[in-house]
Amino acid sequence: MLNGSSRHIPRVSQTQLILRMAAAMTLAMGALFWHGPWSLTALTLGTAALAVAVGAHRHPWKRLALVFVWQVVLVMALYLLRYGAQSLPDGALVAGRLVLLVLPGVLLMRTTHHGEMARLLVRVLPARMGFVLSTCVFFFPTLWSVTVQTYESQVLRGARILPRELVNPLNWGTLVRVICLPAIVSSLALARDVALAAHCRWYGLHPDRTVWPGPNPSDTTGEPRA
Amino acid sequence: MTLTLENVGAAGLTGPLYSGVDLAVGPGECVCITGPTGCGKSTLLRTMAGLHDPGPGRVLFDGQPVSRALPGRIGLILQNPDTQLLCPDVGSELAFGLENLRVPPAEMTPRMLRALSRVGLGALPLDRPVGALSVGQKYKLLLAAMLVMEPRILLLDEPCAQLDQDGIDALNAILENFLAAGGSVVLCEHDPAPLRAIGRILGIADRALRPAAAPSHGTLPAPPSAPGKSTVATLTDACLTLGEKRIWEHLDFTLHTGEIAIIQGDNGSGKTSLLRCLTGFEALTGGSAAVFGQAPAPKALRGRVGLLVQNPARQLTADTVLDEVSFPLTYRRLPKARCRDLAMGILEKLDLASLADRPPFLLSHGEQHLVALASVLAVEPELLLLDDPFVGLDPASTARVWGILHQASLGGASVICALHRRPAAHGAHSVLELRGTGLSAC
Repeated sequence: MLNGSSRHIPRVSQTQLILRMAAAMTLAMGALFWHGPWSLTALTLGTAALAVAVGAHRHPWKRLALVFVWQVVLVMALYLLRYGAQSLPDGALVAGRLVLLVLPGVLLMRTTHHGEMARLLVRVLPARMGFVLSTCVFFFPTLWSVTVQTYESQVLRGARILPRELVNPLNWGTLVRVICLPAIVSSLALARDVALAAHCRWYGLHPDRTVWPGPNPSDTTGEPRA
Repeated sequence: MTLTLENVGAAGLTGPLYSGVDLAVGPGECVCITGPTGCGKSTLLRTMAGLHDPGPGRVLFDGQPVSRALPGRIGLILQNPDTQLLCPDVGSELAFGLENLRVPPAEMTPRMLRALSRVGLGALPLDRPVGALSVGQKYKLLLAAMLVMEPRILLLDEPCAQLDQDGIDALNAILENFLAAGGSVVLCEHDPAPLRAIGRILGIADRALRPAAAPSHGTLPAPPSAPGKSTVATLTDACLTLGEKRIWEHLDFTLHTGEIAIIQGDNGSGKTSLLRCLTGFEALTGGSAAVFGQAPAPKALRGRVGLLVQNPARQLTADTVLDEVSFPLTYRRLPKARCRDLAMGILEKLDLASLADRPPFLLSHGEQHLVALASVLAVEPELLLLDDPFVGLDPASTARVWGILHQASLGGASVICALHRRPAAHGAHSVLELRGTGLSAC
């Protein structure tokens, strides 16, 4: 079941946030590109260290673990069907690497305040890219909450999409039809609304913008940024 | 400083919305545009802001085409503050427009603080996260983010839609100050009554903009019959805490068969959470809940409880209205033809049969709302939970929804409507007010 209730996420300093984001990105990139000996062991240890550092144990983790278990089972089942029993170790390696690719980002999103991440992205990236990325991060909870509402109303209408019912592949089509498609529609509508709101406040009027120095004037110089 | 519209027209997806619109709005004037859902009020407002083609006519600001007006002089605020606040904290939000206008950084903070105090948020720290604000505070912040650019004209699309009574009182004060300083306001609203500042009401009817009277609320028919004796849902000494915040406590509530109850509460009072507790998607932190005599659990309530969420139009995914309404019936494993027959029956009952073959996406907001309600009613729920079902609906659509609810009540269904403001007219058996300390009759 999706969880729509609000969780308390402790705030962290900007340095801690930068370190967390850098570590998560390094680990995810490592899972994607580093295939050397001991790479999986090192990445697993690194991800475990990140989980401890961000305090993942203080957040609900059983459902998340279940999702990853299902993903591993699914990938191995596909390897079994396609290449036979001798390919299962290969399937396990690929499934493990996929987990290591996704898990650092998931840990970061679950344990870090989205507003703080958005603020950091605006400060460290070029203006336009920073605005786009920070807006994506900032509006993620809004989109999530709309999706949770849709999920709950569809379950009550009769959709067989409770977690245990999704074990049956016959119900996956329903999930796509009543949750995934509306989520895409909602995200497009949200993107349109956000773009219009930015336009109403003259975003894009000039190729560069000045920068508010912030409550602490030493943060930026206020010079226009392209 | 005058905003002038000359021979402005616009077309929607299904034909012309309005044409030959002439209008002049002078300093200190507040004009309200009313009209049925989907008549083009928002389009007209966007045309005034230069965001929509004026058709054969033109929009002038002080005699100049609006596209050449000084940036920041016209401020448009849309309905939902949640999708218009783009930055994580109050300071960044206020600075966003100034940064776009390339205002020198040294001038920003004094202007931002002035704008905050104009909307009554002078005590709010600039580093306060936007997510920590109430809906009313968010709307005020949005107004401040517009006022900081020093506009002469404010265009507001249904400003009351998301606000509770406190929010409306604050909005009245802000608008009166803005008008007294020589600004102009044009706003769209189905019900202009709550806004004192409105000096002129115009309505879009028969594809033209004409002077209009404030729409009458009329009298809605009384609920069809007295509620039955058997209990459908109860909350006993219920408490809810989310994170570290106590939402409500000592809440007692009983709903009987065929009863229609309104639960009214300010923004953030926990109305949506109350509905989630009754569906089993949210657990109480104290006390107990029962629906149909059992502790609520989504699996057990499936098909027996219908939930209409806020902005239900976003859930419409089918190619036609008939498909949209018949889809939930397929969960009963009925033949497709039987599902379509039943769905057509529901559409006829709700007077929506003429829309059956039309794509839901091309319907007006009010029609989409009614189709979403039809889709919930298709599975004939015994308990209907409706979260702010009248937001954005004109009086005619509102009356139609009440008619639908009365029909459901006659059929034995019980209904809970969660509203953020007490409606001027309603057709419910009871109205309860939700506060942190519980529910009280009002």
